Amino acid sequence: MELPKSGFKGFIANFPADFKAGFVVSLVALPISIALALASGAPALAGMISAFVGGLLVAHLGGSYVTITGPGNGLAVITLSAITALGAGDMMAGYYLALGAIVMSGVLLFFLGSVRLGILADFFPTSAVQGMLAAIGIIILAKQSHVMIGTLHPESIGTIPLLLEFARSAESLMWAPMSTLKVASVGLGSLVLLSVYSKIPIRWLHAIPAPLWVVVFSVAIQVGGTAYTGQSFFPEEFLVSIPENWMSAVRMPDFSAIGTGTFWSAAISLTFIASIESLLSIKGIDRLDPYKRRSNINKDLRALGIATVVSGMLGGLNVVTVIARSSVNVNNGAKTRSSNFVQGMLMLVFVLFLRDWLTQIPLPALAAILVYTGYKLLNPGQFRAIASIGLEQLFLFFITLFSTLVYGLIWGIVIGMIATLIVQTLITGAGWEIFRYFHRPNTLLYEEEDGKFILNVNYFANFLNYPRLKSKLDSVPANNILIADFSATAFVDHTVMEHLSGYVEAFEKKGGTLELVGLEAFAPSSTHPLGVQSKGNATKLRLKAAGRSLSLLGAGESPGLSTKQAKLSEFSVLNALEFQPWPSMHWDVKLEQFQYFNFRRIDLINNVLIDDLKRLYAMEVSSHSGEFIMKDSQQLACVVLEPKDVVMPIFVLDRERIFERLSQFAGVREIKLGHAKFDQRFFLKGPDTEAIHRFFSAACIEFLLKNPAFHIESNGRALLIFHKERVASVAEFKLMVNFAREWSQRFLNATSVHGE
Amino acid sequence: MNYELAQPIKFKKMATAMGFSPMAKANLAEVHRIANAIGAELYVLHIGVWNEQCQKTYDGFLSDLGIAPDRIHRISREGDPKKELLNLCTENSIDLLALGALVRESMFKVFTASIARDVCRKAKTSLLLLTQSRIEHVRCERIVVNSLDHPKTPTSVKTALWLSSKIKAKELFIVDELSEQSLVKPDDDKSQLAGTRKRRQIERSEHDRIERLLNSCEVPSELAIKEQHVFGKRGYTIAHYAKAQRADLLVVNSPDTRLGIFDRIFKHDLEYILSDLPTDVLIVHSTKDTLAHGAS
Repeated sequence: MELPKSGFKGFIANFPADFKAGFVVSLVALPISIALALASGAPALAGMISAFVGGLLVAHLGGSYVTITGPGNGLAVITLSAITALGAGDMMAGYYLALGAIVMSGVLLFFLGSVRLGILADFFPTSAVQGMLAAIGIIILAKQSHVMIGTLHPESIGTIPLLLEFARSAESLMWAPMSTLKVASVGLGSLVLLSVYSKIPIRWLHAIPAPLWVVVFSVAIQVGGTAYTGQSFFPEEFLVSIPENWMSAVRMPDFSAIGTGTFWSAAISLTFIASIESLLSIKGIDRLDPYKRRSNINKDLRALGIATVVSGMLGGLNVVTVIARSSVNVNNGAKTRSSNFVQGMLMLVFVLFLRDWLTQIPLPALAAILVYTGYKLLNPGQFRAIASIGLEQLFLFFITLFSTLVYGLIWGIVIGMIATLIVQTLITGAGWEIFRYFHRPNTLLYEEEDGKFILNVNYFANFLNYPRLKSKLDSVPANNILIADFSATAFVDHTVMEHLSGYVEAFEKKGGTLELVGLEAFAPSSTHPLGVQSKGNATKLRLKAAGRSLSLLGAGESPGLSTKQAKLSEFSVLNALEFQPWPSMHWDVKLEQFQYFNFRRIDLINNVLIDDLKRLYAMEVSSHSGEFIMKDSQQLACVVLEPKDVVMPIFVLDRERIFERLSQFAGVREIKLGHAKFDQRFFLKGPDTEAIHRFFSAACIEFLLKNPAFHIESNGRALLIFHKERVASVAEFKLMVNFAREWSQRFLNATSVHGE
Repeated sequence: MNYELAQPIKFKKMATAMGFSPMAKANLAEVHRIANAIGAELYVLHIGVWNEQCQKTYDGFLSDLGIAPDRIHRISREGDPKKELLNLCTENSIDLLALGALVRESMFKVFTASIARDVCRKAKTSLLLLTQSRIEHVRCERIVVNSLDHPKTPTSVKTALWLSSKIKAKELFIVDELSEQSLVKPDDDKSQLAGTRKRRQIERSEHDRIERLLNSCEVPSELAIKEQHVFGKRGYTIAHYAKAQRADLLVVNSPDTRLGIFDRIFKHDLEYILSDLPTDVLIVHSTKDTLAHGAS
């Protein structure tokens, strides 16, 4: 697909598409911006200022393509607490002081972008971030549910008391005056509309986004009711207030609190949540972008910082990248940043020309939009999904959720991180490793051959050292082959698995492949492919393996296949092979019969593929030589071929002289077959020169020359074949099996050998 | 830099420290084998009182391993182990000191430093750290050597080549560690492309440099040479590469400065290798005579 052009020409070419998308987004952004401003405890205008400043500035300065900027959900919670804390009871004074903190957070955001700290958003455990977002949802929901049913000022402070008080607010509706009932029914009606909107099968209804319908309906009731009764249908205090001439109402932020801790804690919290919300949104939208462009997150952070400073100066809220509006943007066919610009432009037009209509919006309708947003953030449906990844992830999710509700956002995420570390230590028993190696490098990336990269990871991979892994992953263009080898890693946590799955997708989209190898020897914490992968210790694994082979009847407890195993399983079905993915200590093939395994102890065999005649066994072998501190572990993918009734000579054949170290062949001279190309490329050794000459027929030599270098050891009865002395990727595995099959079919059946 | 002038260090006097640890016998066997292969005199240094028990065990080792007692010069002295070991090396003009070492340095040892590691942080001779000594013979097949753009590198590479020919190694990986700092940071598709171009450009010029270096060396005909450019933290990267490639020996330059406690806490270069030995390590101590004179 051709990328949309940039520059003026591109602007003109893409304008129709971008205008349409920007227009639809502005219809969503209008009610949400006002609602979020109210949820922040700021005047309604503050949200719209943030939206149009964001649209106009970030569209020019940003580094992402189809994102939309404006006031954010998570920020509403932080801004409200900043205004409350700084104002000490006086919301208006608090607002101007909070503007100072907002401007400061803009400066900090710009700084974060300048020192390339955009990577920070990847530093937090996935489950903790999910827990924090859900908590934000609950906080918004707790406050706004009261407003929605006509209680503008609930008595309680704090989320949990507010939630508990809701029953009382609802009960008070029973003897509430008519005016309150009117208000409450608009609020509840709006909520019903929002929840059933997507299920109503009327096409024209969906031409306008649900939040706008809520606004249109409620404004229609207010305007119609007012015209009918001759006085304001809803009481004045339940309507949005916007000053007549907002330009003159703009007041400079108040920086008088800059010396206080409250100011700085507000500024830092704003910066923290603004960057997390923006970066998560940018990442989410990059996955949606039909043109697969990758955003420059640091450039975007700088742009958001500048926009936030300007917005704060004009009396607006923080400017962040928002996921809901951005996905509306993508769904409506946006191509470039211009759609964000259009959205900002239209917001400015609305502020300037629609004031009289906007002041007719009843607050409960907006509160309903917020309640719905809060519920979406909480998303109870995700509990089950998280639990399927692992119960420990659900535990971490709730720990973060509750500590966020009780101690606030910053402490919530800190507690979530600490809890994650404790859980990882308990699961893996590798707490010492984490402590020892988290600040040391643990990744190695090199280009093995042109366009084929190997990424080797040592020790462990979790959220703490993920930024290092990420910087390596980012440096490989996604149209290459990248093999990420985790065989030297003790465990890989859910956060890293989640990020990796994103990269696998990105590589696939761009025509490359990212393959994760070496995860098979791990014991996944759940059947979910993104669950924590931990090696634990070998004994534990062995017990597990033994348990598995004993519990043949327990087919229901199959612990799920890794991506590689799924692919191998597919391959086995297509090729009429039996597939046994689970690690096992018990096998039919004696690997020790080969010289190669003479000095090695075999720990585990897994991913075994067996053909129907039980002549071909492909497998991955974990073995080690030496013990304890001298232990040298190795993983090898190999094929054992046992052609029955065929007499073969004893020989070794390879290209890299791996077999030279085998003592049996130490004194044996190299054999030249008289085929120049073959002799130059391979090293062939064996005690019986004549038999070897007979065995390597002309056709056999041709066949070997056509296929990539495999190492082959023959002990007279069976052949050991492998490609490289490491774990193989699925492609390499297939290649090896096909090679072995073809060879055995063409040259290793009784007739062909005896016929020669 | 004139690579022709750099000389390999052909070790003539090899020493090992005898500590009667569980690994002592295997170490002795390994060291004896190496000394035979490179044709060096072998010294066994012992710090402490050499009593009858020691002599008995030592004689047992020699007879078990089939080593003639007169093959080895045994020197014993009392005093501070680290200091005296280094003194003995200087006095006997030892040019290769082989020490048995544990793969990992524990947290406690980071501060106190084990004898082997402390010695190698201060030594003025080349050092061979043995992590996988065995009584029985295992061939040393794969050698990894660094090729930093540094005046000491030609000596290290030439020494590695000389050693390869002596111990009949099969493969030599010349690993060129390059700093990631010189690349464009991959922020988006555009900068990623720029980064890739820059990487290729650096790799080409590095390839030329290594080519020139190799042209000035005698390369044993049996030896397969592979050149690998790796971007990453210096010291750590080569260790990780050696581990990933299952190398049998890693040859590196000696450190430019003596390493102190701060280098151990804020690790860099050689300290990464020492804290987690990937395999046997040879630290080549270049001297004035072996360095290319007129080094730039």
